[in-house]
This record gives sequence, structure tokens and C-alpha cells, in this order.
Amino acid sequence: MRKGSSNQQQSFTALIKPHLERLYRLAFRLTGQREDAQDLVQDVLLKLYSQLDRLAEVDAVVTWLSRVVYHQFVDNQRRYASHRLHVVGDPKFSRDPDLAVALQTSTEDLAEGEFTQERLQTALNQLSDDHRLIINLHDVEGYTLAEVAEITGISLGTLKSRRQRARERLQKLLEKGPE
Amino acid sequence: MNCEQHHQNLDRFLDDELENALLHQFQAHTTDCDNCAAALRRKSRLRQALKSMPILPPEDGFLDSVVEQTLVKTHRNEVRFWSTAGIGGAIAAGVIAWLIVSLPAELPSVVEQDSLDTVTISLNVEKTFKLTFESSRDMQDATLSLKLPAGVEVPGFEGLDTVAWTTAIEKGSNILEMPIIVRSGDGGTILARLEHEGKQKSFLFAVTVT
Repeated sequence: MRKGSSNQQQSFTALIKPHLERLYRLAFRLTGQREDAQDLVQDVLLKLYSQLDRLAEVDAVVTWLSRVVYHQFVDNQRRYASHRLHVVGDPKFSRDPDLAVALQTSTEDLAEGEFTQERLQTALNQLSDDHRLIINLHDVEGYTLAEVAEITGISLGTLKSRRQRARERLQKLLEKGPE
Repeated sequence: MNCEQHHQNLDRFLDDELENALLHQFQAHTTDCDNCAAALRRKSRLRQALKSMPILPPEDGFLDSVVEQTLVKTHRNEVRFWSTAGIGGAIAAGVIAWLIVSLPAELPSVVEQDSLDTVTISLNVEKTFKLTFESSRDMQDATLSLKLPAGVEVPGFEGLDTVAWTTAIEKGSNILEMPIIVRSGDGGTILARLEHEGKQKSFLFAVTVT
């Protein structure tokens, strides 16, 4: 199904459009950058188009789509590891500058300022990839552990213990402050 | 239930994973102990704050256009190369140059000019060019730097005349998409340099403004 007929294109559009926002949210949580999240979504859609028949038969569409996003993210990380560039000696560029603005303004909405979103984001950024993944998917985005297991292919037992360690680490980082 | 047990069960309580008997003990201790009640409130606020973490919305129109773009790309059976993470700025519409550099098994220890190509660009219009590195082996922790002439910038790194990244070069083809923009002047020469384990490879290309 590489070159689509009009019907195929319409089916694809109808199936995928209701889930686009959710896909983008997940992509953003995984990548932490708007541009990368958009690229990831585009990447996933290109892959999904060739699986239109399968997509139409899936029952738990959101979980299935989320799994595709996650695995595409992992594939991209491996494949384009050489392109995941980090600015030497200037960590301020390691975070999306637009997001930083959003975080700074949103902190004013917090009543006690105890867990400002900027502090939280800083702490999340300091977590290991595995810990950040479980916190982002489960505690931030609200996927159940069973869904996270389905999406990532990681066993439930591993996820439970990883979740506990991730939360403890996050708590310590928040108590300690930025490193 | 004592304070330590209460502390150990905070997350399980918030996850609704406590069985009835333990749940009642937990709730009773929460009622009796001000410190543990405060700890529960604090943990609960953290959970709530996590759920409220902001998300940077996609660019205007992205969600409307991405499906259409997918259909066009699929229809044309185009090969798509992916942008580099963290490079800043959107991928510009046109690829204006392909610079292909073959890296030898060992990088030369002296700077040499491998290729000189010309990239033509309009003033204040972002364009993307692609650098293809053909490497005969994996190179971890390589440093890639660009020294830019006056008036030329990499979007996202405005005001810097030298932009450098640590990266890993894989054996085989490595494609780097690089957006640039000319803010003023008539361009100049960009020096791209790859350094690894004390050795380096440099190449030059010219940017001219139409």
C-alpha cells in the first residue's frame, strides 16, 4: 500500500486524525522538544500509512498507536544517535527555549510554589532515561502501568520497581535542588 | 501502623493499591499524625504538579497539515531524511546543497580542505543543507564545529560565531541536516571541523547571498 488510492487516504485520515493530539503529547514527552516531537509524529504517520489495514483492525487504538510512537522514538534514537547533538559548554540550549518561557510563566499559577513546574522539569531532566520515561508516561501523562508495559514491552514487575525508584530519585532531586 | 510504615505506603495509597485492611490503618494513622498527614499532602501536591506539567503545543497548523503531508510524501514515495535533534529551528523547505565527505579510517592529524562547494541563499531566509559523512568506523564523542562568517547564523544559536556539538559518528552514512540563515552581509566561508581522539578533518564551503 505504498501509493494510496483516494479511499485509502480518506480511511487513513479518518482513523488517525482523532488521535493526533495524543500522539503529539506522547512524542513531546519522549523527545522534550517541539521540533523533534513533530518530526516523530511525521515519522510515525509515514510508517502507519503502510499499516493501514492493521490500524483499522486494532481494538485498543490509543495504546497501539502509542506503542508505535515509542518504538519509532527508540529506533530514531538508535539510528540517528550520531545526530543527537549537544552543544558543548552551553547547557542552556539543551532545553527548548520556548518551553522554558512557558514554564517560567506557568509557575505563577502554583499556589505554594513548592513544586514549581520549572523545578519539576529541571528535576525530570536530571533523571535517567528509564526513570524519566516511567514518570512521564505514568505520573505525567496518566498511562496505567499495564498500558506502559504494553507500549514499551517492559514487564509489569520491572515497571513497578522502576517506578518506585524513579519517584524516590525525583523526590531527592527536588529536595536537593538543581545540580 | 507507625510513621515509617505510613511513609512506605504513601505511593501505594495515592496509586489506589492499598488493600482494605491496610487502607484503614493508613487512613487512621493519617488522621492521628499531623506529620504524616502533611507528608501525604505534600506527596499528593507533587503528583498533582506532575499531572499539570505543561506541554509545548505544536506549531500552528501542524496537526492539520501533518496528515496531508504524509499522504503527499507517501504518494510520491519520497525518501525522507530526518532532522537532527536539538539543532534548533524548523527544517527549511529546500535542500540547497549536499556536501559529501568521506572520512578515512583514521582522521588526518592536520587540517586539510576536502571540498569547497557553494551554497546560495537569500538574506534572512532560512535554508537547510545536508552534510553526509561517510565513515569507515564508529567514532564516539566526536566534536563537530562550524565556524561561521559574520552575519551567518545557525537558527537557535543566534549570535554565536562558532557552534560546536559532541556527537557520535556511526560506521557508514551519517546525515546531518543543518539550517543556516544569513542576517547581514554577503555570506562568506564556513569552516566545518570534525575532531576525534586528537585528530581532525576540516572542510570549507562558501555561502553567497543572492
